[in-house]
Amino acid sequence: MGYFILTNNVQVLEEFGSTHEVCFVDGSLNDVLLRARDLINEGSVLLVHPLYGSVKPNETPYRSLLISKPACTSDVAAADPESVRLIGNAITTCRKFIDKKKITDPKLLQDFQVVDLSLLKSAVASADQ
Amino acid sequence: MRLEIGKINITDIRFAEESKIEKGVLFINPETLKPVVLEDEKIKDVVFDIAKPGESVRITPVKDVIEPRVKVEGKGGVFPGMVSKVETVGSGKTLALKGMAVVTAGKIVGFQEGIIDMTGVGAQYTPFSKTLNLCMVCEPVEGLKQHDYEKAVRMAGFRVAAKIGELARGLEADETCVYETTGIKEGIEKYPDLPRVGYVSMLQTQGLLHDTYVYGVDAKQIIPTIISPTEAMDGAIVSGNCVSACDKNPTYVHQNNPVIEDLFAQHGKTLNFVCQIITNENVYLADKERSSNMTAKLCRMLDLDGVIVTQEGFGNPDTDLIMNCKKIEAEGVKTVIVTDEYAGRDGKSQSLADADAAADAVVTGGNANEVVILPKLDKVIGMLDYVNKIAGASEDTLRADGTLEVELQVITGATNEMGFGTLSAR
Repeated sequence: MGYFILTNNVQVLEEFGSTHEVCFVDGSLNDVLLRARDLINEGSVLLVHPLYGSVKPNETPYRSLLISKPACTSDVAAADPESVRLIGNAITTCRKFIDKKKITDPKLLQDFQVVDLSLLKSAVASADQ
Repeated sequence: MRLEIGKINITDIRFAEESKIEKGVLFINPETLKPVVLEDEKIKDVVFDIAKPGESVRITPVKDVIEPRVKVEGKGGVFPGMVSKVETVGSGKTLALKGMAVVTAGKIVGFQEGIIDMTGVGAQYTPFSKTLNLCMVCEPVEGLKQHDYEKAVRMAGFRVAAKIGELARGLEADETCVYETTGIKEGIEKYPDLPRVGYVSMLQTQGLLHDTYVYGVDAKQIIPTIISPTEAMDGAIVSGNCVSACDKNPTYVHQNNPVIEDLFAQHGKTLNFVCQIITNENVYLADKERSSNMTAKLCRMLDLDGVIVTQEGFGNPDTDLIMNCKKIEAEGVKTVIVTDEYAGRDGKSQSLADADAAADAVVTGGNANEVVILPKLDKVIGMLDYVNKIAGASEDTLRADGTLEVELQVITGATNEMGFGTLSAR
């Protein structure tokens, strides 16, 4: 199955940009989830759990998802119900975490990027087997 | 398999010239432990410290908690595949140093949580405020990458715990417990009228700071399999997971798994404890489908009547938990699931990120979002540098009077999903 990576993590773009199709979102973790929701509504299928990782969604600013390319015949009616359910639950779950101030410390941001990249790598390893 | 656990009760830890255990007191010369840590050239220095129950001490950020044990009879050694050869463990005799733990600490990433308070409100929430803790804070060499630092600290903890465990070799146990499982056929013949019960143990397996190892193998690469629960007691399952402090399973909890303890206590009386099934919690959805399919199939093939399922973590693992529950129930095997909750600070939100009607028997370890105020303590082992950045904290966490306003999720073991805690409802 062909897939692409949807991410707002620049380290994911650097790691996979030359070997995989990467769609970079210049925005927040929530923006990535909302973009994924729209793609799923257009027929794409989620290949990873959107709430992966124990770093909480109000803590890490990064999210990287593997998403299948939609079939040519796909339409809204054909949206994958499991993907719709998972992304819907994820967006709802993220809303219940309290908002925190935006992190600006570059070292801390880099640590979040490293962990996000590591977790995504485990999914890419499974997907590419 | 038959395993004897000989318990050596440790009543105090003191630094001394000679390392030994005498009359329940563990004497440790930190200078002799240092080379055990520094044999890994990735670690620049290590500082040992002792934290005792009731002291005004806060340990943070905690990476792992380990109980020192030594294998004195039977095959293999403790922590097989990590510090011992990959011989199958879980039979013979093992000595365990009770009442104490080795606690590894170090800031691997800037947002790492994990607080153990030895006194005050926080101490009531962590099981490790009741143990005498030999703490080791490891400093990495300059420029060491996070992956390498994590591994170095993880392995150093096992080496130190094994070294201390060796001090018990030759000692008489204060108490001995025997744990014995039977073969499938033997169990059916021995306990024909008792329900056949298994334990499905879900292991955290997502990537850096979120991993678990079985006989040295990264468990995200396994397919579900069965083990004797006594194998876990010899350290066949170890933790590389140190995010989400409240509901991670430190190595200590795998060694002293309360689900296994309680099932053994009922074994041959009200139930026949058949085996432990280990499975994973991968990020990739197809892996989840495969692992839950295999787990349900194993439950059916073993003709189990019921299983207890424990998970580790929140969010992604909730989906594995519900997949396991649904599919095992669909095979006609009853399930009880053990989890914790992220129900919001007011406790009114949906507790899990996934749910199903088949999950009709649930045990909870508590609400990780519950807010507590931790007092200012006199001494910190480790560092509080990033306490405002960790999960369950905020920019208002560190208050002017030195107290910390945090959610339970920052506290190591507070809402443990194997039930290794004391939270209950009234």
